[in-house]
Amino acid sequence: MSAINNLRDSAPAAEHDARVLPLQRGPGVTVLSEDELARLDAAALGVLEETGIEVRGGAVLERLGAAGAEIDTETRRVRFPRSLAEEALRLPPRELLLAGRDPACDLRVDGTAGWLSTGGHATEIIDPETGDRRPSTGADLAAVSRLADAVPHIGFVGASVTVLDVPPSARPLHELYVQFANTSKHVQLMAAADARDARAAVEIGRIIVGDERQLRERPVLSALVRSRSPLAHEGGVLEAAVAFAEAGVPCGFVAMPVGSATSPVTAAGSLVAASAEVLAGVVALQLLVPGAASFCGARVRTADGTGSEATSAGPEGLLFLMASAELAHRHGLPVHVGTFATGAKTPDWQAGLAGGLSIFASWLSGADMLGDAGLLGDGRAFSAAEMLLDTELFDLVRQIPLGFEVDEEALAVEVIEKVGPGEHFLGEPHTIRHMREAWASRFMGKDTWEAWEETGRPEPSSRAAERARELLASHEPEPLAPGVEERIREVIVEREHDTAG
Amino acid sequence: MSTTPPAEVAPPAGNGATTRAIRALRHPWTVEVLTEDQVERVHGAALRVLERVGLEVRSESVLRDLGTAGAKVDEAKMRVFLPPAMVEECLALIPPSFLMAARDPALDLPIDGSAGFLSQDGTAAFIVDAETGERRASTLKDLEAVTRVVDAVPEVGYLWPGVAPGDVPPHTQAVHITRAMLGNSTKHAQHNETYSRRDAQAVLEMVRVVAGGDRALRERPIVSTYQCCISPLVYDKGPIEAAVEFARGGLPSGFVSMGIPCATAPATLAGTLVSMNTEMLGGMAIVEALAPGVPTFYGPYPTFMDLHTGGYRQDWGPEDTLLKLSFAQLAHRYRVPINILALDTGAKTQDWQAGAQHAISLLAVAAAGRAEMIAATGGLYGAAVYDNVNVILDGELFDLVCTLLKGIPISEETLALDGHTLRRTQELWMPRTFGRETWEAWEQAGRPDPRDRAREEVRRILASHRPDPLPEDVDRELIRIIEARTAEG
Repeated sequence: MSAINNLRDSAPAAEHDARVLPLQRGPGVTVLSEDELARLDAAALGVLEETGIEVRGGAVLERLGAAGAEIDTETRRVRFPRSLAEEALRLPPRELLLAGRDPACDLRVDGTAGWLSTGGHATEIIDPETGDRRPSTGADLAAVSRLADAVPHIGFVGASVTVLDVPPSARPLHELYVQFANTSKHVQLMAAADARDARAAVEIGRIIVGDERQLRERPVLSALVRSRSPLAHEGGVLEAAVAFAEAGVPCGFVAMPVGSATSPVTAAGSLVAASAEVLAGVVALQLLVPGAASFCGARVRTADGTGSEATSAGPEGLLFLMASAELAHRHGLPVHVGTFATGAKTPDWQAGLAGGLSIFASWLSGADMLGDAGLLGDGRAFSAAEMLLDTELFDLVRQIPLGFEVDEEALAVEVIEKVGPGEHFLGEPHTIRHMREAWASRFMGKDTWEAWEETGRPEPSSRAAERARELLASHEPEPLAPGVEERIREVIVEREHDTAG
Repeated sequence: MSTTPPAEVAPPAGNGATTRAIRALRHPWTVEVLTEDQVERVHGAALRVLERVGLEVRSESVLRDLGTAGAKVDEAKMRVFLPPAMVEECLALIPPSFLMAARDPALDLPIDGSAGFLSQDGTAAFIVDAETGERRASTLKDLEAVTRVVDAVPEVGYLWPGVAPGDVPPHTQAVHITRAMLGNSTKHAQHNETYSRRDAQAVLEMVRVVAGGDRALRERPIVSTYQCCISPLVYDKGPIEAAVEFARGGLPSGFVSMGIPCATAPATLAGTLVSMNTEMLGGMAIVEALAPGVPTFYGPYPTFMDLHTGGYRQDWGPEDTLLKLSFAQLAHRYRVPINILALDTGAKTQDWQAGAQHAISLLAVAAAGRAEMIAATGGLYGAAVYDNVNVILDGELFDLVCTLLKGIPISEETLALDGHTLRRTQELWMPRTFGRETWEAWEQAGRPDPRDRAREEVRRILASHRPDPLPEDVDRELIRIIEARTAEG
């Protein structure tokens, strides 16, 4: 295993003014042995071969049958013989480009780094002005997107809040539009309901980059498609995935089993079930669009058996995250994990603890996309303050794989000899040369105990909330090119008309 | 709130052992920072500094003994120069494993690389009052109370003197601490507050009484100790003489360096490694030269400076992880047990910052490959203030990480895709202070915080937990020794 300091040569160059910041992959650790990984993977592929996956509605089932899968039109099941599945899993490209509207925001997903994102479709927001919890709106999604645009730690965006002030059927496209209009970073769509939504989303992507060929070269849009646990996919959702893939838009599959309700409750059983659902999506997509850019997602919540809300940052959740990354990487597929998933309802001890554990675990697992910055209450509400605090932890852990210099100058033996016992290093030229190399926090406390008491015991969350208000008041994202907004609106109106008709 | 985590260390039979158990952190992961070549460069640099600059050892008797043992000594400058061959010989004498015995043998801690055990923090001069939540100067009564709380928490493996008994004369603190720790808990006690040979003699006398004599103590050291270097490169008279006294008495005697990059160590991380490594190697070489074969350990506790105020840096971050991982590699290279710092925070309360710093520092230790002693729970504000609430919260975090490190059981049964949902639910990790109520219920209840639930647990322990007391005659003897030490003035 390689040491962190061995990786320094491959570290990215100067990052001053970078619009997006990577988390460089480290030496990593595994929670599954090679043998355990093989057993889990074989069990998942065994599910695809023997139990199969239900495809609810649509014409995808028949198309999969034509492409070589075994289908049962009575039960709506598709079964993938193991050799067929393995062949299909060799087809996706090993590297993805998640392009930004601004090329400076382009993200390479190639196994060398992970990128942080927003997302999760909370239905409530902690109002940045009042601090109160309320239902989220389009204006909120616009504000959150602008904030994500301003902060370099956020690599790409997905809808962290649901636009509740438009009808459900119009949300996917409206959310896409709001995000494109308020950030020039890559947008990941997580709510495409069917193929018509997907085709309209693709059309919006083409309007933004120019045309069909340019979207294929620079996909400013990707999609994350959710399975229906246990062991099912909506046919319409799979058709949407096919529509994205045909247009060159990268498409990922995620299973979101909630503990004992929809998946076997042992950790191993949950992993097998989730992996089977995710791999079924990838295999289906490859059979219909060979070579389509694909990735895996991993989200889990564990029901605690008491009927109260689920806990996501316990040991089971962290193990699920790390093992899912290992399973995806076994097939050379990038993985999108739900990093910042805290059950805390405010940025308190629990939120800091959960964030610290999960960002460190995400780094150790080598995850490629790290999701859900800013979510509280197990995904129920979004908080701008919590999002900035999450970026602080991302920034902290980001420094670790960068390692440090160990040469004559850094070893400082001559300085140690010169200073000698009982003296200090404060005025040494060596100290002056290197003292600014230390990491700088943005939101942690620095004041004395007395000053802290006098100022009403402020916590990091109050500093982060203040910074969020400043950024929201000052940051202007790169606007859409002239005429683009009108054309996107036309696509949305046409799609709404299509639904109404 | 009274959920008891599962037993970890099987209690040995007999010896009056209870069925209590200590939570152990086992290390399946290793993340390395330094290349093999870099480990050797840091080692080589430390040997060079020990030989050419040496250590300032402010004790004529220790310097004399070191001269006899083969070191070059400059008495006028109080400097000892340790030749590389002598350092290597001394390092070879360090036992790779030892026992941190406890008054209750079920709570013995094997320091052999198989697991890491969490210690209590110490020795703050302030405590957050359990009733008022306000910071105030700490007393002997507080020390007794914080010891009882730690005794009740199975995630804490061993004691430190949690708070300073500020209301007893300074020269009697070491002996008061000894009685307070041994009388209010049956766990192993690590005494890090002895500042003179006389302190060490009195503490040893007390510990022999509790252990049942010199031989019994050597076989089952219920107390261990360490001394701190004054960075850079100084061992003060009292601490180094105490270290040698303890080592000759058979107590594990470790060395801690609290180097501060930019101030008491070079500004670069590599330079800090060299400087602190030199200090700890020097201390360990000294005790091995003067008490060959005594258990000792390596205690790197780097802290950071706030460049604006010159004070302790509360908002530290990634450098801490890099140093932890690097020091663990160095300890491994020397095959010496490491006492590593985690669960420290600059925060002044158990807020987001404290949670994040504690989580990241403990996962860094988890990824360090091995760490036999994990310090320390209870401190806020750079360990300047002690709060029992931390112990409850950290116990939960420690339990979470220990469970995480056990990994995923893979078997035919666990891979099964149907059947035993309800039966299996029992295996899930259960949070103790995390909020699990609905958002609405949380708001209606006045937005309670994990620290509120932890404070309730502290009160419950203080009201109900009665650790096994010392036998009356033993305690009378301890009081006599304290009185004698007090009379020395």
